[in-house]
Amino acid sequence: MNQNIFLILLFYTFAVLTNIILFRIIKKRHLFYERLIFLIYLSILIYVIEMKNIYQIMYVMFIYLTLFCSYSFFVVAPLSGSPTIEIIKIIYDNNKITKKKLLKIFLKKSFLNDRIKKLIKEKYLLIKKDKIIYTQKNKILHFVFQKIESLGNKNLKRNG
Amino acid sequence: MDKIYIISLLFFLFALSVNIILFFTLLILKRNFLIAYKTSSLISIIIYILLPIYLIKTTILFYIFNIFIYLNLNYIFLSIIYTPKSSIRFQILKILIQNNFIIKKNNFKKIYNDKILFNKRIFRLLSSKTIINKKNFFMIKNKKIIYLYFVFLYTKKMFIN
Repeated sequence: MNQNIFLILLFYTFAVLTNIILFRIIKKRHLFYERLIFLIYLSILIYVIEMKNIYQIMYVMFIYLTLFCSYSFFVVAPLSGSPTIEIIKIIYDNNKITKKKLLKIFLKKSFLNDRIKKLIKEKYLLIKKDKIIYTQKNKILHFVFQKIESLGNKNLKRNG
Repeated sequence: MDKIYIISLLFFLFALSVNIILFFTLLILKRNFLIAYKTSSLISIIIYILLPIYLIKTTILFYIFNIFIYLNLNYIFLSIIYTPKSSIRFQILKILIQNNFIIKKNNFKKIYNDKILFNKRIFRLLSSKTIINKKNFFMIKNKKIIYLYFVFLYTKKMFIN
């Protein structure tokens, strides 16, 4: 059993390292290749581990999927940039700073334009003349937004 | 021995279900988002640590590994529920959905721009007492955030040399 745990962690580490190498080569995050790499290592892992029954296969797949999801969510902020971390970085670099100066440095990097460009690239948005158009028209997403907004404390609306 | 895998999976599902049910119950009771998350995850983690205690008899490493995986599940749950709230991309899409999928650039910039984003994040950091405003100067109060900043920095350095 201990050997299986080491093998899961070993193959997961290999998958992460392969993804880092791939990122350094193609200079951007490619979700299809990222998933493919994890899938290839999972296939090898299932082949290498001596599976005794279906529950063991389910367990290994569940663990591996959990670790993959953690990785996927974790690398989003450092790679695409987080406004909160940017503010922390500016304050940390300056020790103490006025709001005016903080805002001036913060505005040098436009997070909004960057995200709009990404949404256009992912074909969610379209810019036509002076209009921004949402091409997917996803009603489910609309429902999810409404439900989440209606739940919880009003302070949540100040997030963003 | 073979039963251990299916039991572990059931324990994961049970503790995660407790977490989800408790979290949404607290939200319906109008509790603060982070307080609801912290309470529900803490209770579910305690349940998860106590539930499979008998696994120690089989192997201590398996028991610790399962707790580590459960913490990962908690992190995934937080990421999923918090993304619609904090993600800039989600906010952009939300504005477009609320405006029948089409909006003029100027109107959009009035509703959401980098300055509004900055003010919202500053408000959040001040509310959580991560930073403080002392005589018009912003300073970091919660030093733990610096560790998070360095984790982000080194993760980025690993990918982009």
